[in-house]
Amino acid sequence: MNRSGLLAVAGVLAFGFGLATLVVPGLFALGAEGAVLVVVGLLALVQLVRVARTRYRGTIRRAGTADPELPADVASPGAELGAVLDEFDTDEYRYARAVPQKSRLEAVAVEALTRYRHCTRSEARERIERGTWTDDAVAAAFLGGDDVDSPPLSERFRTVISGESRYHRGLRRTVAAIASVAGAPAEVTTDHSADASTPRFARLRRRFGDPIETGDPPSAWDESTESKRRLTGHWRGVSAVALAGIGVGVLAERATLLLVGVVAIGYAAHARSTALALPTLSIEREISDAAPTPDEVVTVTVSVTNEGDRAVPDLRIVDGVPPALSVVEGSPRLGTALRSGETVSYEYAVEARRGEHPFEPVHVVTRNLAGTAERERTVSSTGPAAIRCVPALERVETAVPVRTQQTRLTGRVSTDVGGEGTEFYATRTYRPGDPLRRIDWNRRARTGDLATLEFREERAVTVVLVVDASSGAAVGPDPRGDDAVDRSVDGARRVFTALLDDGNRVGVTALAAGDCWLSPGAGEVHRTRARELFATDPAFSSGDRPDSLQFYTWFTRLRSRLPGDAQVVLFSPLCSDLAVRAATRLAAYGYPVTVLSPDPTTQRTAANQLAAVVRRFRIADLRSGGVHVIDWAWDDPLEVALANAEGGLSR
Amino acid sequence: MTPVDRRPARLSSAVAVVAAVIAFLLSGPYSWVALAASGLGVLLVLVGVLTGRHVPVTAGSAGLIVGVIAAAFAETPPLFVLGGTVGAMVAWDAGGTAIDLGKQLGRAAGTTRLELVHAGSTALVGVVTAVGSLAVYQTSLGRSPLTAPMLLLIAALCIAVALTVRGE
Repeated sequence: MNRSGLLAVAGVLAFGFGLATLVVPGLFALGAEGAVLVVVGLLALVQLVRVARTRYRGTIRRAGTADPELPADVASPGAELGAVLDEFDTDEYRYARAVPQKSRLEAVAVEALTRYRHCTRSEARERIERGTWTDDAVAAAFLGGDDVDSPPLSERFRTVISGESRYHRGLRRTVAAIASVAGAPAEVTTDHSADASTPRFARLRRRFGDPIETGDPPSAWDESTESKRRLTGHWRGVSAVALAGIGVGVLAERATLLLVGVVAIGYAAHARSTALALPTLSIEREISDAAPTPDEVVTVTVSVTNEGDRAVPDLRIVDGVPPALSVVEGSPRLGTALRSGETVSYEYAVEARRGEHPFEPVHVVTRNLAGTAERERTVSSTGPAAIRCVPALERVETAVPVRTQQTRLTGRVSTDVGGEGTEFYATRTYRPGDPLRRIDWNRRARTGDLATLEFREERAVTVVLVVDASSGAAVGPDPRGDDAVDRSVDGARRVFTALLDDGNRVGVTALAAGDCWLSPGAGEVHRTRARELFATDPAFSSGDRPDSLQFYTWFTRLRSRLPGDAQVVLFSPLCSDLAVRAATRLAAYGYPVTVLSPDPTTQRTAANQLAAVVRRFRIADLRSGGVHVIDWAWDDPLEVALANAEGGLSR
Repeated sequence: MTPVDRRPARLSSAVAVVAAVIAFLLSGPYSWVALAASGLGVLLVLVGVLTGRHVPVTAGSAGLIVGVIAAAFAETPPLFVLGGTVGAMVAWDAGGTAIDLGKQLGRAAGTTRLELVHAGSTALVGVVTAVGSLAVYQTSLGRSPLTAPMLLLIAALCIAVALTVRGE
């Protein structure tokens, strides 16, 4: 206020002098009022410095956009070392959260030694203290007591060369040593030190980086925000150019320099004058196929119409691509200018995936012609609201290893009970009432005795498929690929079909916060319902993080619904204790439990590796508790996993 | 799956670099200082649009302006001074727009129309003010003292700046 008032007064004064000079030429000659000009010039230069400082004071925010063309990031199992160690929380180490990482790591090492080297806990602790548990000197020294020899000089030299901190190197090597004790792959594919050094660069970048920040994408806005208007600071500092031109021009008496100032004033006026009206837009979306098959490429056409009376000079649009889908062709974004009533359309293609994928609102950013102010908002579009992909159910081509517990219904699961069937089981002495066609007539002819042939009875089982869709299961080895929930659902769909085809009664539920339940049944209607459930139930939808769930509520609900003669097949990556608890408890209540576990572990970091070791512990625990665990390697088809398991688990 | 290419938009980047080169060609040949300043300016603008950062673009445009001012000291024709100024301004504007478009929409998006409208309007503003001021300059050249038009310009400056400051 003060400053602009001063400037306005100066402007009026200068205007008066100028007019006077025009009316009476020679009233102020260029040489005569030098002092005034010097003052004006100096003022201009002072102002120049102030404007320049404003430009670099504070940060400016401009609209930021999300990356809707990519599917949500999939975390790797053990993304954080601390979280893995928290999960590894055996009863003996309940207090583990309070103790430093190193002693918690020691607990894992003790566990590995007792399991795989067959020594007692105290022996294991002693070996760690003495450093004799591993050949790796770095790991031994990391966990060992004071009397363990420090690593050889060459090792220490290599630590210095690599730039990795000594602690991280020790940690990494210790995890590798534990992995080799547990028989897990011990090689880490990328170095852990890279993660550790990023904060340093981030700080450096903040200090010397752009003073311009990008705002939050719409997904991070709070609900109340209707539209956001802000100054972008795009032409900020243009007055400095005007001031420099005029100031220097006046002081140095260069008329041409004034022209620089005038042009800059022109731009300053342009930056200030153009208005930013709220545009009235209508956005329509067309989809080439609203119910595609998986992996089908669906073309989305977006048409934007300016319904307002004014032209929109600067319009930036980001379409709300469903979070789980990825754009395979084109871009869901557009930057354009729209005259009043004009329509512009563009298209892009997404690849369909299982599930129901509603579109999100369109993110619209408009700027005025000069680009000095922007307004952002979300606009909901007309046209189809979702892409719905319900894949056909395919069966897995290998036998599904169900456990030996049967209903009275005839089915295709072979039993250890003799009776009606096709496969020979045993012979026994004839009892009155046995059907004539089952009498062993050959034997009768040979010996004269009456004997009855028994065949292996084939009966149906009741199976409930439980898919682990909890947050601990939303992990995968590839940040841009499937997560374990996707794999589990895929496996469950195929197992469901195979079991149903064989005449069993199959039900489906999810280990998730939502209520997802299909009670065991058979028949075509049941099949269709399951197909819909697998495709569209919120618990199975990929893309968004599952909510946290109350285990006991979930378990009680499942127990009340589970038929007494049912057996359970649990699909879980076993990356959290939740699934382990579910399996152990179900087994404790007498339900035969099979765990089919897609293996999402990777070897990218030491924490990933540790997560893989802990998963091995979990599998071993489950197996010793009488639960069948089928380890399904990530790159193997389900058939291979089942066939491998058939060899190992056969009755 | 490749991440979104958020490098600056191609067309506006090209416009920025071309405008910077024009400013360099118009002011550079007239003095060594102008040559050095605007040469550095072109380089910085180029670096800015290649790395997608505002600071080098702004600094580069400032360098171009310094070059224009230095050239004005070396008796450069007013037309060239004006051309250099408009070039520096367009380079600054187009460079910043390219970076923002890259950050918000990425390279894969169709943004040609927006960029053309934006660069066109900026160039038009420059041309109109340049022609206008050149006309005033030429007409007042006949009168021996430049004091009157100069003072009027200063008045315009003060008022415009007063307005701009309040706007910011």
